[in-house]
Amino acid sequence: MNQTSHRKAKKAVIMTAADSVAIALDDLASGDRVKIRSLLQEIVGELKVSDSVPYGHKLSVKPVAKGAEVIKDGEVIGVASQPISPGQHVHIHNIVSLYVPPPRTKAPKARREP
Amino acid sequence: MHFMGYERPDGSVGIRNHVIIIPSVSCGNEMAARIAEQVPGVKPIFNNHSCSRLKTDNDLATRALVGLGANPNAAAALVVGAGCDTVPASEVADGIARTRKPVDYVDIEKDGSYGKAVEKGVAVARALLAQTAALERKSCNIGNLTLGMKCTSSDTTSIIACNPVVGQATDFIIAHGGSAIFTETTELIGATHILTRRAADESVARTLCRRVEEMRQRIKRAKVDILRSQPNPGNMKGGLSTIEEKSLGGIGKAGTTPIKGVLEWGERPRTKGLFFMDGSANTQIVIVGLAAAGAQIMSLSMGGGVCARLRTSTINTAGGGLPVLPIIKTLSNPQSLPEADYFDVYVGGVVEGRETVAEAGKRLINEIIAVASGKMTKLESFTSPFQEVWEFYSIGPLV
Repeated sequence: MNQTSHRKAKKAVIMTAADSVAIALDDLASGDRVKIRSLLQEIVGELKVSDSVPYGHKLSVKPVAKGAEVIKDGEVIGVASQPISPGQHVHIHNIVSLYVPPPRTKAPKARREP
Repeated sequence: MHFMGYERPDGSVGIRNHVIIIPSVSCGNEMAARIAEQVPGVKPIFNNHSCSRLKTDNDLATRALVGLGANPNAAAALVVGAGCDTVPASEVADGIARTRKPVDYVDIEKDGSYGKAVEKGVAVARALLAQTAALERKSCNIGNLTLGMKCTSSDTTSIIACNPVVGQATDFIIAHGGSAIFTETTELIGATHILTRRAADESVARTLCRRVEEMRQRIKRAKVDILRSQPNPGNMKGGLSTIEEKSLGGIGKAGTTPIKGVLEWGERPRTKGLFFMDGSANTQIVIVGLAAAGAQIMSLSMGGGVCARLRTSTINTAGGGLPVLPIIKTLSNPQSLPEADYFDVYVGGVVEGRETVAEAGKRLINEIIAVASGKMTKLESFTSPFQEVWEFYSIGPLV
């Protein structure tokens, strides 16, 4: 049996057809095949995941250019801070709010090597 | 569409028929408990309003106390106070009396002593119980309902399931001529652009923005700026990336109709439709504010997580929360399925693709009609040795 093809398809849900992201309903790993379904329970697509995407996080279902709007539930939830391709994890590393500067995150302290 | 409710003299309709005891100030809590102990069936509503507060907060407390008594789920009210209170019991009773429901008050100064005030309170409470016990439910239009809303322990499933499901109920009640109120000003900091698009007119949009900015400035005076603190680390861990995305999830529960107006905390809407109420996101304060604004039924939509595992979360109290505001709890996250029994409606099937939002919405609407007609909520059916002391919204410092 083929070693790669029997990986079970994992699930994600897309809120509206206009959306550029789907929400992972399984923990996804790079290389996983994911079935995208709508809220009406129809399978609307399938794609290959290129990052690890935790349960509840977003993955891109269409290419988004740098600076372009990212759409979820038919609404703009931010813009891409770098180009995003289908199957990628979409989160604070590649989208930013249009209204609020990114949250202050504590920069890790420089570690002195012993 | 109809439910079986209690008609009140002011034309409002209750879904419960409680005789409540309202201490006008926290000093009256013990007296209220003493009276309630001797009159089984009456419901005390303990609160934390005390002296050493500024006028703005005394005004907020007065409106809340009157609003709790005026709430259609109260058939009658007894107000208790000391006599020296910042919010006099007589003033609260006068406010409630405008609804023409039976109301009376006792205080130590007027009645002569603690013992005499309690003794009279017991007699009044018994009389009010007797006077209201015979009231019967009648068929009433859904349009008489005001639904209060809050979401809590939100996670990524909230936007998929519980909030849009609640949105269906909101739209349904408003379509039948009723009202709905959502609140939590803090949650809108940085996200007013999402909500102002829903405003019925320019003035509503402006008021909304002003309220949010006032809240932000109050927080800044405490030397914290939370503009950049959203979404919080927990939200981000759960997959929310921007404030827009977080707010979008929360608004789902408000359905799709325009926002007719912005209410002060505890203020009753003057017309029907969807309203936003200014105030804190603290669950207890939200519950009191909604009840004081006249909501007879409330929806608490929960994602999941540890909060879902607290049986009475997030309203720890004997006999199911604030007596005048039954709460229907909706659970969203399939990972919290073991806790589903603590909830009135489980909508994890929407997340898993076994049920549509419309189907789950219909189940929630049926539950609302059943609870409005007398079915006990999960929270109402739990007994607990603990009694909540309800917190009132305050904006000034304690002095």
